[in-house]
Amino acid sequence: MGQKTIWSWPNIKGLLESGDFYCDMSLASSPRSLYRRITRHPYFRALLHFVMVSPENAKQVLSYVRDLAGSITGSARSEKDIALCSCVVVLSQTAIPGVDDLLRYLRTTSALALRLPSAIASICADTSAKTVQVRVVLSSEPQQEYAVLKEDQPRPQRNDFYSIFRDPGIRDLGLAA
Amino acid sequence: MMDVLPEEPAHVKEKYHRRYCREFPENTLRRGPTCAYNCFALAFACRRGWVAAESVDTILEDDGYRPLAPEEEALPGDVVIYRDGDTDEFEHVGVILEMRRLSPGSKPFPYVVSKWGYGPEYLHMAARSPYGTDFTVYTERPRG
Repeated sequence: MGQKTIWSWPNIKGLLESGDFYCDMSLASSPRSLYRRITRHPYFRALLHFVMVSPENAKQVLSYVRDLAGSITGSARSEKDIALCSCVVVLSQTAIPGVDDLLRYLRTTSALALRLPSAIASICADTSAKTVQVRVVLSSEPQQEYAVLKEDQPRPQRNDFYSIFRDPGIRDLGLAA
Repeated sequence: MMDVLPEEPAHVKEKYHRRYCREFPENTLRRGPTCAYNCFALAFACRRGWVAAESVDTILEDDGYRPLAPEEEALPGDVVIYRDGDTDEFEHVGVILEMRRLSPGSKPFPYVVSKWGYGPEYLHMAARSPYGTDFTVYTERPRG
């Protein structure tokens, strides 16, 4: 019953950099409305899920963002800008070493090409979202569903496992696949 | 209050067109996507700059906009404003071009021009956009 990821990083990266996601997010009329749209989008949920499954995944996303932040230049925007913004929102909720430096860099940079991610990083700082404390992530094999347990929730026995998915409290976390 | 963002990359223009023409085929494309201005700038700043949604309250107050009273009729030049259903923050605005009846004798609905985020500018019925059907008409006309 160990941890199991539904999504691989290449899959999620593909979604985040897709034209569909870009078109959905392009309806935002301001960075704040972009932030709201990002956090409600299923692709963002997939990314959040991916990051919460393992610290190694979060490190992978952090590395991606660093590369992207360094490579986006000029004044043209693209799908990667939106992918970068989404990753920034997710990473701002983690305590992975290096995240603070990255967010500080984005918030203070004057690079035109990073204006949007920079605005998003500032909003993340303003909203001061609490870091989600994940104790264990369980996945039921047949349906490939997830339950993410917070620190204050007891770890269930194996027999209790499927009852977790029927617990509306768990589903309310909004993280079930 | 205003901020200028870079131009929308050329390669995504076709994606916008495919996406929104499929979703709202009856809408008329007025111009292609650009980041040079947003919907608020279209309505309140002659398409110049990127007006932050956070500034819209100030603009409405400074320019004397008010929600249309129930007994008043919307007129061309009034604006329709969409808010986020959860946070009540300003989400989108369109300028009314005409009040259009879908059939003879039916209630007229606003037909507007609006710009969809970084995307294109469309002519559309106020209820036919990705911003939903919940909007309020504002006017700067004096009451009465």
